[in-house]
Amino acid sequence: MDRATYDVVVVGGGAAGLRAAIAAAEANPAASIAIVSKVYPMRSHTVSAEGGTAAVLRDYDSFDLHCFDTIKGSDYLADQDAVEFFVSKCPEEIVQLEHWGCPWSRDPDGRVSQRAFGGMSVKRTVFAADKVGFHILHALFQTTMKFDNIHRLDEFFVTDLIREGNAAAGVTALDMRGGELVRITSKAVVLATGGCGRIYEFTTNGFIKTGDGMALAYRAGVALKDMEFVQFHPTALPGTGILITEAARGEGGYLINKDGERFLKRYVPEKMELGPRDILSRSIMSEIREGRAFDGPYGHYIGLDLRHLGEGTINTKLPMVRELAEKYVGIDPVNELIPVRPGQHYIMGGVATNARGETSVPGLYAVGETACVSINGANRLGSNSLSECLVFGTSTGRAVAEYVRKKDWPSGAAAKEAVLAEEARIYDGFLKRERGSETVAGVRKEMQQLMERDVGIYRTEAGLREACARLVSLRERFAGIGIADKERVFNTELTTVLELDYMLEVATAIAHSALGREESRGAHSRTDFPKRDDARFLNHTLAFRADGAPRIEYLPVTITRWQPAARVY
Amino acid sequence: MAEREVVFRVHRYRPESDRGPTYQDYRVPIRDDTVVLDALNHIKDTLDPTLTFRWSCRMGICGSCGMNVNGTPVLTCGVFVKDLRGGVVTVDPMANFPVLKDLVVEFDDFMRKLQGVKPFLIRKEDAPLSAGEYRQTPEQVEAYRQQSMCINCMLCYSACPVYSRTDHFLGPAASAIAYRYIKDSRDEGADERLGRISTKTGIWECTFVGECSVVCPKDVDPAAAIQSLKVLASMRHMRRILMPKSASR
Amino acid sequence: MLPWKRPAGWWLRNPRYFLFQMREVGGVFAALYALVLLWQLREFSQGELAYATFLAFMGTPGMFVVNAVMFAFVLVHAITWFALIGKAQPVQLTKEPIPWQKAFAGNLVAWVGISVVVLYLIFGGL
Repeated sequence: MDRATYDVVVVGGGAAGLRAAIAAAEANPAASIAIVSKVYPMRSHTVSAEGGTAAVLRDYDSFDLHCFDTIKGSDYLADQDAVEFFVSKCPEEIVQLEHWGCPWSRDPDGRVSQRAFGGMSVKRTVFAADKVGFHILHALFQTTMKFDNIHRLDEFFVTDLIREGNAAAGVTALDMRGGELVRITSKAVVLATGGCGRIYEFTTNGFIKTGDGMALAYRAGVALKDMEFVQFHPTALPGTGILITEAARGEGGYLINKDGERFLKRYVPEKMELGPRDILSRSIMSEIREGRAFDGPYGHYIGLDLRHLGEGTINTKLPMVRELAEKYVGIDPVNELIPVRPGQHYIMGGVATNARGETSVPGLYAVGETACVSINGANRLGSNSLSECLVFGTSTGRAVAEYVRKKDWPSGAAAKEAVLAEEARIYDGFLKRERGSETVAGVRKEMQQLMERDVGIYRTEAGLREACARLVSLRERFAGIGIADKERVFNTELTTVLELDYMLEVATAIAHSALGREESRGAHSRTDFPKRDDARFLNHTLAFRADGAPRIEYLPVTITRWQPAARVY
Repeated sequence: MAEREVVFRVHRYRPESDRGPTYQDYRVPIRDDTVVLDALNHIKDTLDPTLTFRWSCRMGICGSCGMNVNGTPVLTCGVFVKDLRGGVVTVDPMANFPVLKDLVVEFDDFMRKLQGVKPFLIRKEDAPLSAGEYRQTPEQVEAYRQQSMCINCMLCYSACPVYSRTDHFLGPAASAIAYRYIKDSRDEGADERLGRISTKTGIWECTFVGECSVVCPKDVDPAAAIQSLKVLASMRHMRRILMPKSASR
Repeated sequence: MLPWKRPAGWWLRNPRYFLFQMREVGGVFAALYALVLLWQLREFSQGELAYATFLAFMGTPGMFVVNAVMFAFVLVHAITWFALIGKAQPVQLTKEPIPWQKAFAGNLVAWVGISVVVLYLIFGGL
């Protein structure tokens, strides 16, 4: 069935997708934009971002300083032209969000407040208490309701890209409520499906973060760039993986080992709790390894100490931290330490794009965590990712609006073929599979444990080779997963199988990219190659899908004004 | 941590084979820190993969996992099984909405109502971005902060007896969000919004049961917001009678 | 798609729903009591005999029970509304609005105080 035709299909309704949709709708009011998401947009995982979004707004700050912090944070793997563009556009995005009603926290004089954040030299992070992602998402979502040319297809699960000639021409999707496979034809497709944290066992990411957009682009022949760089956030609640925002440290919180010591003085004496995430996560792992961590039902952890901040600051600046700690671990941070340990949080890599969101396929765009421009390089600084969604959401939305102005409508022939092929693959293939020896939960769990152990914070050649080999066998076992639910309406068993399919795709790209990079840089830490190696690896990794192992290529980093130097905090 | 088994009596409805709803019992191992959502995931992953429900963030902010547990609308990620009374835990889909399947309800009705209250800043003239932010003091933010916390989880609609009787009623969350924009010092759309919601199917349908505010997981207090809206709407009405000329503002 | 049906007796399943229903029903009894008052005034204006007959009728056991029931519902109505006032329109004199419990207490105190004054005016002179 044809679910109408749109100029632009945006896959995903988080900050990047919504911002791109609004930018496209504004730039080209004649264009019809469809937001196609597997969840209602306000469920998108942007909602869980807590700490803030970076922009240079004050006299004490400068674009150059924000550039430098970002580039140094990236361990010199960011493309510096992209960073310069990004930094110059952040301030207007903050003001734009403000004009759209986002309830930023304010200074007494009525200006938008800014707080300190890890790796940022000055107070640069704009915030709305500690529910920044939530407020940004709802402000953007509610603002889309102003536009007559923005349409929503809620709870449509995208299964494939439609191509006509070489160009993108829409998507096929499961209409979860209607219980049918539909084609959504368009002149252009923007992938904004966020990250892929659910590949890992212990993650701050929601259940929906399964790398859909990355896998879709990868299958269409687009390279996944820098996938070995996976960020582990230093402070997640053991057991659940619930994120405790970096703002807790930005507002002055301490990290404490079981001896009551602020152990970061041994690792990042200059920055202490405001060091970058990759280094802090490794420091915590060192404390655990050396027996200086607390022991709990979910393994070792260290303490996040907010007690000295006082109840007032906690309530006004960190209300969600208190709410989460009280509700989910039964601890009041006013009087007690919050147990935390590092957990997967973000992936620096993604679909290879330029600053306009363009990929190597005409009419196919990617933006947000799904994409890799790259401004984050080997390690993203906290509060740059929401800004990234906004800045590149805008540039991508404008670029796609321009593209569809000149582009002819697809004939639709490819779409009809695609939907037949997908019906055969999904309804005749997956849905008819009888319950076999394998379950989706079983295979998924093994992938998650494997990635956690061998492609986690520390990596070795032996471990990575093992991971690559076992991902091949997991792919074989995936073929043996049966589906018990035969109904087409809202079949979440079917969609979790399709999600696992996407995750295995992305996990393979991550493991092979990590195996190829024989150095330690940013979040990629190889114990067998503990030093950064600029001579060999001042390059982006490009992973192309191929029969068997992915094909790995390298692309030099763009350096403008900041020569690589030692990264010391 | 000690484990024990708890029986979950879960609402099942398979739209392509069932004519009506049934209940199915599952025995689930429970620890002190098991939340209801964990139990449902245990059922889905190990006992019965056909059980259907929504969830994502499991930290009480995405609003996906609202259900009626032992008759009360809750976010299932935030309710510990050990805190529930009675031997059997009954899990139903949220009330007052059509059920799509098992525990999944459809609430496009709310999405239309949300759009109807114009949930965005209305300005006579948008300032250019180059002019910078609209100034707003912390006190002015505080005026609408509480109602800006709505996560659209729909628990308030599930708890509202008025909505169950008259589904044209605007309802708690949409009203609270209207109030949030009206109280925002940057907004100039109060008159337009009040005109839209001060109707029999709008705020005046509310009989102040107050249950929406009791079940709200984010302390948005939609009940109070609606009563405040009634006061604002009445004042607007009186202004229009007494000062017909200036009231158009 | 399964449409939602409200179960019969829904308001008995949750004590707060039950209290809400009692509060709403209480409004009917408050109106009835107002009618009784009007009736009383009318009889009073008809002269001493008519009023004495009215009082005698009110003193019968049946009417006593009716009055007691009306009084109970009016009490429920009044007290539940006192509890709601502070929630419906939080009073804000300082930076933080007054918690509803305090508004409730204030209303109760004022109500009891005024009732005592009224009782004194009626019976105090005797």
